Amino acid sequence: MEKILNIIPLLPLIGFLINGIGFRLIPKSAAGIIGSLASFGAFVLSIIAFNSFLAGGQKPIETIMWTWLSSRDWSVDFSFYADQLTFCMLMVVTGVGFLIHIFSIGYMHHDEGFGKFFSFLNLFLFSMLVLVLGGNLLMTFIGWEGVGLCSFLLIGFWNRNEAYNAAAKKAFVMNRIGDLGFLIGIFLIIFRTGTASYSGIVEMLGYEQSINDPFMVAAAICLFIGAMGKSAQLPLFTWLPDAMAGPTPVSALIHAATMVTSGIYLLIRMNVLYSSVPMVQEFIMWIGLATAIIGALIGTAQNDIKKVLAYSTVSQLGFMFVALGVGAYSAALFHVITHAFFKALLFLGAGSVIHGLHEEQDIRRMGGLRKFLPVTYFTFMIANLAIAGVPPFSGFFSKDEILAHTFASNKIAWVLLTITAGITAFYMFRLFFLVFFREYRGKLETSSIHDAPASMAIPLVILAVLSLVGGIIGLPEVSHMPNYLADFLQPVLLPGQSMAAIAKTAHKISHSEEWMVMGVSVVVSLAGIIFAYVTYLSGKAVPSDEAPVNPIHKLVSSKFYFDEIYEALVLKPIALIANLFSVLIDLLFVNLIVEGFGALARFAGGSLRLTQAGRVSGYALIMLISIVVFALAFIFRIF
Amino acid sequence: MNPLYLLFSPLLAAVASWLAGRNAMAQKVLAFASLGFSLFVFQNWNASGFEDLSVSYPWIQSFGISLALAVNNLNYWFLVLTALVVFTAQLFHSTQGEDKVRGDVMALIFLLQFCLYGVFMAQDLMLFYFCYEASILPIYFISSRYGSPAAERAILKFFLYTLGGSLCMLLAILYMYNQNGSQDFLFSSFSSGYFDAPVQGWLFLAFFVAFAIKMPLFPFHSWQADAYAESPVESTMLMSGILLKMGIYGMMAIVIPYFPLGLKEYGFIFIGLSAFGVLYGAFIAMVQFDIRKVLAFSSLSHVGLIGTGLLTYENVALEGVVLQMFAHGINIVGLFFISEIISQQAATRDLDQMGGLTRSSFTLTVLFFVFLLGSIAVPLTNGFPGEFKLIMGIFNYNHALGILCGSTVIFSSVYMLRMFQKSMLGESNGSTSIQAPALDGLRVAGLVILAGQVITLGLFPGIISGISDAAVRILMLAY
Repeated sequence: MEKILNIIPLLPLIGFLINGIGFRLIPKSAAGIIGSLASFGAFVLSIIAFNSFLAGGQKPIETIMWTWLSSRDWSVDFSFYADQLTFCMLMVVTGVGFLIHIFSIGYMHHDEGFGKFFSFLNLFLFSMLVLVLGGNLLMTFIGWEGVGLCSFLLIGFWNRNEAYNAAAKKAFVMNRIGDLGFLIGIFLIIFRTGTASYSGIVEMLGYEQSINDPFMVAAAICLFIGAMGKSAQLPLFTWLPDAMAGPTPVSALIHAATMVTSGIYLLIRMNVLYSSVPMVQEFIMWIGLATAIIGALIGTAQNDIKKVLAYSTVSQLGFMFVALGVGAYSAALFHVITHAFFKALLFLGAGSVIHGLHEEQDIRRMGGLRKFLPVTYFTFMIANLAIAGVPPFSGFFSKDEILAHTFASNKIAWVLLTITAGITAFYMFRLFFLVFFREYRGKLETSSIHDAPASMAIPLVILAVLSLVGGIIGLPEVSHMPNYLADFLQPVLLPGQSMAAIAKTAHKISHSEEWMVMGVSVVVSLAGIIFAYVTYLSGKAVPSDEAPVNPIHKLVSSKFYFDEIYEALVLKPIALIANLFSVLIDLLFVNLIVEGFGALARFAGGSLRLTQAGRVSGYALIMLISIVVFALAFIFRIF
Repeated sequence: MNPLYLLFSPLLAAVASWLAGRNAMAQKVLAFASLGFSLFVFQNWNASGFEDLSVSYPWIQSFGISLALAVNNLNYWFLVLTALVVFTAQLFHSTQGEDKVRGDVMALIFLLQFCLYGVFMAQDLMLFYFCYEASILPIYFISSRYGSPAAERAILKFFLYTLGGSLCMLLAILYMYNQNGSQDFLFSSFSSGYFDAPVQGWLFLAFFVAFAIKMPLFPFHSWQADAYAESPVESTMLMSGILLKMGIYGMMAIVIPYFPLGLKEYGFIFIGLSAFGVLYGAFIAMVQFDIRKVLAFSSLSHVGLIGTGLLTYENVALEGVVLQMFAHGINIVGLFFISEIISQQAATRDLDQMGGLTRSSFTLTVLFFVFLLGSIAVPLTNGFPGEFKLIMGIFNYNHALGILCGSTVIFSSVYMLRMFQKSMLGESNGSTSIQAPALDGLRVAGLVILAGQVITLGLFPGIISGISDAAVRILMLAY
């Protein structure tokens, strides 16, 4: 059992090494199979491990391999840890990961870097598995930085393009800003508890029971900063839309389904900490809410199919953080899971569209594609209904659970979040109508447009089924059916719940309220869809190519000028300081002083003449003489 | 095994390689043989648990100077790093094509190794000083004879600068001798309580200046960039990889144990300066266009972090110092090695004129990237354990300072990735493929071994700290 756990990440690592070292030698067909087999193997092993976990009475498994880092006062093991939360993530990561590997075989078929692509994809899977399997904060940090690195490699996959390289660097650096927060959070946790292991932290913090302890507040904020970077929350979200420079399967796997949700994973993992600091929870809720709103608003004015989806991811991640902020950890994880299904599907569908249209990404040059891409159309529609929150698609249930908990916790936040859900339905159906309905607006010969080949179609269909039925794992209480996910996660969330009880932030929702929340959210979603229908389908509107004149529209379509603001407030000043240091201080100031001494020495002793005569050995002589002089001086007690 | 064997083995090799002259094959054999011998000795010592490894012979009896050597938990990794860096520099030199191999360069590098072994093993202040001083000479000769036209001036600056610093140290050593009743220079004659607080303060300053110039710590660094950029790469590798480690070693072997009160008194000033240097180096590295200068300033930044950690006198930071000094040695040498191959290939050191080199050599790209990852301290590379402990220690000493120094996590990725992208990625600028002399099998093998250490020490930092942590425990008793 423990052995299986250790082998799970090892398989993708082996896949990475084989494809990575031999990518010039291994033929394309083999490279794709090696990569996919590695991820499939990890998936199968995860199922086996999960089964024996269930059979073994759901006892958390911890495997310690060796002592990785140790100091006088603490030590950190290289260890894996698996409990209910780990297995949920394992299933999603390996399952969706495997499907995306299969999809990539078809999608990347023409690319010269095919083998390289699969090796990076496997390396990513390895890092992600270490992230979710890690038995302590530092192990998670290994995966955390590892996925960031793979994200860098894959965003800049087509590395001839300078703009793509810049996007890759931006993603890595922004993530590292978060990582600094993560690191400091780890320090604080180690200082307080003397351990970084999850089992140890729960044990130590469970005793503390003091609410809003400043030390814990600091630690919680620091770890949250880490999550902000990785999960693209305000203000560290601008890297994610740029990350769309990578191949589309990458966007599906890394920038939608798995990596960007690791911030949520981390916070759920540390639920005992967060429930003890309601102050920080509230902060998280507002950040999540702001991100959800801003992401959704920007999404309404984007014309690149992948950019729309990227901002929608930002917005959906915001939903998850709102859930975390109101202490609804299980709802957050539920949305992570359903989002992984439907957003991966949306991205893969977008990939299929782009593939079919020979690299066209602008929705203004699409239209009527349901005739040419029937499989893509049909699966995309399911995903679209799921993300829009239409019952009984999976997204409805997870979003509803978040909304219900938000309602119980903060009414204003609930109102805003519900409106955001409506905007989500609007921009997703705007995209949907513009891409698949009406007449084709592009310049391609319609006969050259082709639907997904089998390797791409099968993952689409499987994900569509999951997006359709995925909600079954978390049915609402009013349905009088068990919420499997919440029940399953109960042991992981117990420390957080008891902490919330002490902090008096635990809340209960009555059935009538739950019905009301559900009703409102369905109505708002339908309103969004209808508005999109009226504008883009019956109203025949097409986003214009010209720059918007309406100031609000302009603000939204320029993405609220976040990039420009960062440029002016952060990048420019840093560049200025750097140049100042480099030119002014280093060349003029520090050097001048030193050279000044040099000149003084020249003036006084004329010692430089020796070298100018080319006699370097003179220096050795001078040195020797001075040593002897000083030696003699003190021997004769001159001083 | 007697430390004397190790000390004198490079001297023997120096004579041999001087005689071998331009015979590249013989030089390669010598480099490998010398490394092999050193590693054999290290293994032998490690297995023996450092028992009975201190020896003392009278040397200049009338002055009370003795040839006292010891191998212990503190200097062990400095010695190992010496052997590795020296070997890498020699590997570069001896594989650059028959016509460029010089016996005197190889011999000078061996001489330098002799001096370095002396510095790290010395248990006598005067012996330490002699070796410390003598170590500049080989570098001076290599750089001024084989460097670019600007090298002579740059290296002279380095020379004068360190000479100035060493003068302070010499005066301090003589004072110590004067105060010492037993009229000798042995380390063991002094203890942490030997001098009064004000005296410790002055002695601290004198030694600190010498070591800070060598490392260099901000603001004693102005010799660094030019000396690194203009010297032949062998000497740049030696300067950045191992020469500056003498400064770190001096701080750990002399300053902290003997002048802890001085450190308490004045340390905070230099902690501030040195921490500023972390950012200062990083910022300048971000806007450099000379690939060597990017690395030079990155080194200033990294060493600034080591220096800051040292001066905070926190247990965990001192543990990090040893890890990081070893990692820095490996990474910076690997990076300089590869940067030289790249700039020879592109026929320029200007990053703006490079590009697309990844398509000409897959192996080189991977190796470059591994050293880069180590340098920006990605977990599971050798850079991470040390940097983690250093930042943790500094954070524990002062939270604001910890965050300030911690931001190196962000900035190092900025300048390193910029360098990588500008040189390896993007559109190619004409340079086609890396030919045989630039990257032959032996070079690949050498670099793969180094890169292997990046990963191995990232996975198992215990290899180093298992030995060095004990020395840190002892250091922590000094105050």
